[in-house]
Amino acid sequence: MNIEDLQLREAIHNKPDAIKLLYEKHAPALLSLCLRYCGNIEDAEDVLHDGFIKIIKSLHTFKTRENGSFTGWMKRIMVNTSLNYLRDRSKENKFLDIDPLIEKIIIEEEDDTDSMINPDRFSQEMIMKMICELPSGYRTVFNMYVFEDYSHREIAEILNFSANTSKSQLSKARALLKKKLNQVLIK
Amino acid sequence: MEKHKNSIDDLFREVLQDHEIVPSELARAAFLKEASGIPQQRWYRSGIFLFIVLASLGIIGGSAIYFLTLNSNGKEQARIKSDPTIYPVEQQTAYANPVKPAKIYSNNLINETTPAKTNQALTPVIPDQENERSIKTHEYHTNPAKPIQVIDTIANQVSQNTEKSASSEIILPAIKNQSLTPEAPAISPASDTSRLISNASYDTTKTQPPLPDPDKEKKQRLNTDWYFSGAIQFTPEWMFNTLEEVKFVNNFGIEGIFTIGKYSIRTGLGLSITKGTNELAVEYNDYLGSYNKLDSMSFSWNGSIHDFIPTYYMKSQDVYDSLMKLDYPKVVKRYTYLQIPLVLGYDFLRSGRFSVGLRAGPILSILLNTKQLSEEYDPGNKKVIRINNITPEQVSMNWQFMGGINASMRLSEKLIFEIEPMAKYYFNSVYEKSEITKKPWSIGIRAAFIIKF
Repeated sequence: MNIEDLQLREAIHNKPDAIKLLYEKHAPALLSLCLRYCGNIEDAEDVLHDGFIKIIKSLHTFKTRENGSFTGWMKRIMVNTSLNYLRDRSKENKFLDIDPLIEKIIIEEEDDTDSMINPDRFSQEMIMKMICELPSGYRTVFNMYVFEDYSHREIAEILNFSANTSKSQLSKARALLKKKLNQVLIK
Repeated sequence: MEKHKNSIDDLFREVLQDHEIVPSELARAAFLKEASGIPQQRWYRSGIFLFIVLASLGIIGGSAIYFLTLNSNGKEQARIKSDPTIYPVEQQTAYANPVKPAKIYSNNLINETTPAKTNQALTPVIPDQENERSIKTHEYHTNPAKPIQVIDTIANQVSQNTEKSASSEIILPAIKNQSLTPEAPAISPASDTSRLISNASYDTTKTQPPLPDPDKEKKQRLNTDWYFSGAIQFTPEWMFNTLEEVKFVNNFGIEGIFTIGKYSIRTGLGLSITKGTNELAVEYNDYLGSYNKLDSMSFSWNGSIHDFIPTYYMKSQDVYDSLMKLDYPKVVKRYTYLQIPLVLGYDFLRSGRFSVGLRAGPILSILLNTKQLSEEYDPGNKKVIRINNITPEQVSMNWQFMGGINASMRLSEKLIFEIEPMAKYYFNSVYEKSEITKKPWSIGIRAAFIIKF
């Protein structure tokens, strides 16, 4: 039994030290995930809090064989918590909350398929900021598709719209991000 | 389906691959405070479970110890009763001559044996363990010359009055056949232990037929005794691997039990009542308000003003938001199942009052009734588009297999109390969509009162 398993087992029994260790070890990565979905650090911390409570409460249901890695399992819980949070926050579920001006820009920029961009020229903060600045609908689809590796069909099922809407949202998200990247490069 | 590679995706994925943000101290403190107050979710790891387990073990262990203690005492008592040479004090004082009784110590049992017709007290005899039975017989034969007279007297009395045991009936004719004189001579005061022992061996072992083992007889009787009994039972049960994590089930019913020796077969009818929470997904449009919509209008000619007077017919029109929203109400239902068990049993420990055994067998559950306990979902003035059941309904029939340890205690001749910690395995899920949960299992304690017919 490795140290992580031991910590996990102790955390299952609500041992404060084990829970604290678990939080300190995993919270930073999970907060980054939450921030990608929520767009601001305050909301992300709220989601992290709720998600971690869920994790602690359902630790006993975690089974390696079925749930895969512990980190992956925690991430799934955190993504679900983030989606619920977004759903509750924007009751109207607006995934097309983009103003017409931006839409126009996107359409103009969509054809601009410029060359490969060097990742070294962008810091993590810069990239995170770009994601956070996306409209929430675009951001959600982009996160789910790119980082969580969901397919359009799965995204459509989860977010309750069509797969084509998901594709459209992703395409627009990419276009907006590309524009932002280009702006940074020009500067 | 394979995803198309995209440079933007790759860039973002690569840069944020190991991105971390340390939560603020405030957030950390808030989490740790709340986490410390989370009760342990697995209640069955907690005190209740331990209590149930320990109580069950205590009952079973106590029964076993009591049985073992009782059994060893019972053996002694059975031996004393069946041995014609050892009689209780009351009988001896009634049958023997009124002389001072001698005390003979045998195997920790202190028996006041029948004195012979003498005023001389007998010296205590310490019997050889190997010849225990012979010595006991000899207790009445202190004079080897005419040893049987006392036995005969006692035996006659016993056969006339009490007929204490089967073994005494068997042995007495053998003793009588020795044609003894009616008068018993005085016991020689000089009789010593060694002589007594040697005489005793001579007297009894050669003439008596082998004594039947009372324990064996008793066991044989227990092994072949059969009877019917009826029972009323109540079984609280905790089911796991369900959508509600732990589901509490109340079982009660009547049962018929056929017992033959150590084996039993139990069947009957029972009701199993459980509550289930069903979650619904309601898709709706919010109510925004209403307005008066022009339905139709008519015109009538007013001659005095020489104009048409319009009449407007309005109707109230509700306005709903075009955006679809979701609500997740919960509905509580009560499910009543008919249960038909077929449980086989074997008692591996048995005594007069207590027995401990194993029980195992299949149980069939058939859904009899479903009743909604909570109120129907009220959407208010929302426009409901669709209602989907998230939680599936429970199955109409399922099979279980139960196994348990049964401890029973006889309260009176006809009444028996049973307690049976048991576990059940469900061969199929309790839900119609079986793929969403694993096969359930449960633990419970059956308590039953049994009436022997």
